[in-house]
Amino acid sequence: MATDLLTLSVTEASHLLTKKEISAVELAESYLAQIEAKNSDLKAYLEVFADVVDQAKVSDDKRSAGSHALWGIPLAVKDNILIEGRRASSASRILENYVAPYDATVITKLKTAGSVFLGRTNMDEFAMGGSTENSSFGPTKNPHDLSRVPGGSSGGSAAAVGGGLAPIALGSDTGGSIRQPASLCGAVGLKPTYGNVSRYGLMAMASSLDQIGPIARSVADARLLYETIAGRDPLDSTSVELVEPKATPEAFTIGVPYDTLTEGVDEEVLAIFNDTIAKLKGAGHLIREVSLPNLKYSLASYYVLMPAESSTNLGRFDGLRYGVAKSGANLLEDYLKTRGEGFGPEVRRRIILGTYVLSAGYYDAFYGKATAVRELVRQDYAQAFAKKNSGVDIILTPTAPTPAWLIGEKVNDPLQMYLEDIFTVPANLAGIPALSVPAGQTRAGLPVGVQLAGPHFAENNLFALGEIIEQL
Amino acid sequence: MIGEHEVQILAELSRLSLTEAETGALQRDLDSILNYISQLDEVAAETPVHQDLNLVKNVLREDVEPHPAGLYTDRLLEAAPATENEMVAVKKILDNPSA
Repeated sequence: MATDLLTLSVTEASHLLTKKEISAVELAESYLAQIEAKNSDLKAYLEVFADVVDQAKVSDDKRSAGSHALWGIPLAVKDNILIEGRRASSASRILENYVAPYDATVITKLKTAGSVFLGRTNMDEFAMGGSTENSSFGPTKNPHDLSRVPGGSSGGSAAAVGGGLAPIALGSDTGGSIRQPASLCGAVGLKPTYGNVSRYGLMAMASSLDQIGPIARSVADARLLYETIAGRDPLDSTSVELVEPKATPEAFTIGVPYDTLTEGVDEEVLAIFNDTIAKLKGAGHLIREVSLPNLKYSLASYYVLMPAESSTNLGRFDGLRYGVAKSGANLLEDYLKTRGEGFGPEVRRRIILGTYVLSAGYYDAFYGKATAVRELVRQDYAQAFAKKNSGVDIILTPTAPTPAWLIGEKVNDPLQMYLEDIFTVPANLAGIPALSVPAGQTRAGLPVGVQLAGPHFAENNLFALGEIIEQL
Repeated sequence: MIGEHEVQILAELSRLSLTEAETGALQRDLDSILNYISQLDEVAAETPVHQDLNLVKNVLREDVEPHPAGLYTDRLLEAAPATENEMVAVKKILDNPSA
């Protein structure tokens, strides 16, 4: 029975819970047993909550006819999302013992829906990285090959879902941090439209790019979690009213920016991508080449805007109001030591880079140019999706240029690591939604995903085509 | 090009202490990242930027106490490394070396 419970989709589990054929306690216990068996190798969770079974008991007791589909369903949460009374460290020494004083809005919504919180998942420190190797508490491993990275920064959440240690999980995505690890771990991951999900209670990295989103085993499960957390929140002034879903076409017109695939993409990744295209064509969908001429500057723009915003957002970690404090001879030394010793190397690298690009005299050359590129990228997408130009419904690319790489392979070359975000960053710059869906496996058995990017507020169409790709 | 001395200055501006060894490594990393970023030079500078897409609405509330005074004080102070009389304790901001 125990193994059966672990293979259930959220919808199936929800159905059985409603009929009382299974209990939330049984479901939680199955996942706890799986975590017990595998987490010491995977290191997907930084902490498994001690009260999981109690939460599940309450869930069983309070179940009613009108209970939400997530009632009693276990969930893993990235360590940068606040749950009142529980630790939230962003996988950083500087917040190692920080206890969240309030719930993030997504958590409030999930508590109302009846989620059972399994634990907090490992990540790159402050969500800075693409491999989870920047966690101050040791790297997470890929569930498909323990010698490889799970991707990042939401690597713990993706490994938990991909490895069967959670049915669904929350991640956050600033430049690909949900989609890339989902691709590397064989899971589905969505970065929603900027503004569709409240960031209240998410530790800010780059505020003009950050979004919270779901990681799941199927598109349907990701959709259910997304729809539960979406919506305008008065506590996040950047959140927006949900817009009416776009009409879903019977046959999709799918754009492919072929010129971005000519170099730097792994052969097997490209083969799986081309195979997906061929199958979609076979299923009656239209494939058209699209031109996004400024996409090639996205990553350069991102590596100005993101550190600029991060260096500002992380100014709050001063050792005075929260977190770890190191004492020096005076206040300045307190700051230098607290932040120098509290932050890991990648976080310090980005703070210094952000300070540099915001320096007087460099501002126009870097921040000004990066903002201009961001606008050009947004216009490229708008053009490609514009109906009057017989635009496409969705743009398809690989999610990441490579499958999971070996732990340690890229840690000494930050630029190589950054290039892993080449396909995911543009959606954050433009604020559009993008979904990673598993599309195949390499000969070595490593999962490879494809990324569907759509116009603002077109999540429903990403899910629709995502389900089609799932069944190809 | 960015020099090691410049990295030290940036670190201090960023309120981060760095060791000698780190400074050298960081200088090389920043150089390669800045070299990559320099492709932004190819982009025309006069691109008009429309940052307001009319989606975000101002959030206003009545200018009154949103909650009873002191409701969160204990919880927030609990997170502070050092406190004194229900306040966050900090060192003197102004140092007077002759005092």
